Amino acid sequence: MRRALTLLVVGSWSCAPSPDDARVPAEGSGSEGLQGTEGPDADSSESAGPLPTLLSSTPALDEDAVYPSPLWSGDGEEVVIELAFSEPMVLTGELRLTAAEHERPIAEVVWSQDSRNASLFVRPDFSNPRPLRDETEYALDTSGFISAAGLHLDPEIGLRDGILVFTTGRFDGLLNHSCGHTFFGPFADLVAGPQPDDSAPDITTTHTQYTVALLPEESAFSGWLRATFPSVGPYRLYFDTEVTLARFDGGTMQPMTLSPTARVCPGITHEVTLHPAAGEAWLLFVGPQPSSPVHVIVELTTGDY
Amino acid sequence: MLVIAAACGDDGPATSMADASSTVGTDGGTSSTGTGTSAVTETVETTWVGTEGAGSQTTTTGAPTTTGGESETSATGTLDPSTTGAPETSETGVPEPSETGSAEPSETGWFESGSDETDGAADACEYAYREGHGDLFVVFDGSLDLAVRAAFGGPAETLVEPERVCVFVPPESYALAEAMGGAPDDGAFAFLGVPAGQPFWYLPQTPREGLPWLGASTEGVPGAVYDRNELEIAIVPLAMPVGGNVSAWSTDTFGEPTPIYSTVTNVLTFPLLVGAHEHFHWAFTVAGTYTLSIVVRAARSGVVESSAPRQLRFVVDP
Repeated sequence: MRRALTLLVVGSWSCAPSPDDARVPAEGSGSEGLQGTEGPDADSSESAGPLPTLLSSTPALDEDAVYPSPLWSGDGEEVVIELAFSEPMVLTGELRLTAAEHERPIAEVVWSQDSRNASLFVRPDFSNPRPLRDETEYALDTSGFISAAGLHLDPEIGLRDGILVFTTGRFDGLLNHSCGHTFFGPFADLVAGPQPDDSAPDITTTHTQYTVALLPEESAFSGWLRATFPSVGPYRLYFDTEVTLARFDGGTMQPMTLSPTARVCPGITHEVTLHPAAGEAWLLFVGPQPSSPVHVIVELTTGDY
Repeated sequence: MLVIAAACGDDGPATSMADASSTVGTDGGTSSTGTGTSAVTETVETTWVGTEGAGSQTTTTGAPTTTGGESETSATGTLDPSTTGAPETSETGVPEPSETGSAEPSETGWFESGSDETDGAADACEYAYREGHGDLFVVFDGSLDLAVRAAFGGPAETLVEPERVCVFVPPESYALAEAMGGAPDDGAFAFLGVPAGQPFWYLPQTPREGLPWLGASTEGVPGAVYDRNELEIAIVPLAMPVGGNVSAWSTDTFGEPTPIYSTVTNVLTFPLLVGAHEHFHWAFTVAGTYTLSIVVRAARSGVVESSAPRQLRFVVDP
């Protein structure tokens, strides 16, 4: 369910500021960025040149399906909003990230040395156990950023009325759970088998990140794996790269199509869901791959993670 | 017949996995031999006293109902978790952890029954669970039992009898809750037993460096064995620090908490479907050692089967 957006506008201008409106004196207190400077020169604001702009942002304006709870490190889930500016900027006052029915605080702002890039961190709290909510439109008011000349960002470049708007997608508990295993294990190292038989190493154990060394094959790498599924599952295989994968059914190779996952963690990029019969053993061929090893995690899809 | 050693008894009989399942009587209840209800009551009242030990206890598969209450089993699969008040509490000593994984698991990852390895195990924290993934794992080998599944600092996860495990909840977990603003000013979190804004020792539902990531798993239970594929886990606190409470909860996407377990509000059971794997938030309000007695049960053709009570310790702010 998508939630309606209420734009929350703060600062000295209203919905459609002119460039002149965007020029405001800097506030001395609470300024961040512009490291090593004294902050913007309010006196120069009226005579300043073109407005600073937002060169890029992650998420981008109107981006959809932004993952609400990524796990970029072992320090917990956090959403990072990356902003790149055309010139050094400073942050005056509070940043506000709002949705129709709630607001999320920016827990931390980390600046690049040249103050042209800011990383905004949104973290969970007890009432908001994930940084952002599912399928919700958020608005980041950027009016707190001003340049050394005291200018606000151009409100229509990479922004809409000075607001960065984006919408979150759905949380995938199993994917997040598996991401946890990429950081914290348990881990197991395997060497892929050369042929489709019982010599192929088993990857059946769930909640384990397997590092699979593939066998060199001319200029590529490949090998066999085996999985025996105790129940009907479905099971999901998570990989850290896009792999060419096929199931050998005893007679023919059945290619399997992997899908990219949401951008949740560095260690998982692709997935495929398997629907075995209970007790069934599958032989899987990985490759040809341009590099080795590959990492894979097997998970049973039922549960609340 | 089930015989289970009290968690901290130095001389008690080793827990026998082969014997650890309940037997199901024809009356629909869980039958047992031994001292029955009174034994369970004694177990519930037993507090863990560190290395001094509490002496061995025998008990039955009748799931404990309450501190000082009667043991009950029912044919409906529902245990009355009501308690008459706070469980017995005591200031407990902090067990000394031994080297991680000092005992060797069997090939199957599950301990063979009745070895001397379990003697006095609870005092020593043979298996220190300090960080990474772990589960209260429901074991099924024709009947129900519980284990802790974790890697314990090693390369692979293994199943260990809960009595041999200490879950260490470090000071960093308190700092984390503090950084998150402490207990919310929200009546929905009353089950924590923590005033608004006040921190506590917190293990999040999602993994964090340096903290245990403890959930529950029924992935080892086959389908179509138990009615509606439903299981229930019941947890009774045996010993807690004075003033201490423990709770576990999950949250939906909007942050609404669902208490799964709380010694504050006496939510002492929670359901799990076969094949489930769930993780929760955990909260502890006071530093010290919490000893919980845990039972898993389910109905098969209307007759409740229950595991032996298993004891697991959480060592908070060691």
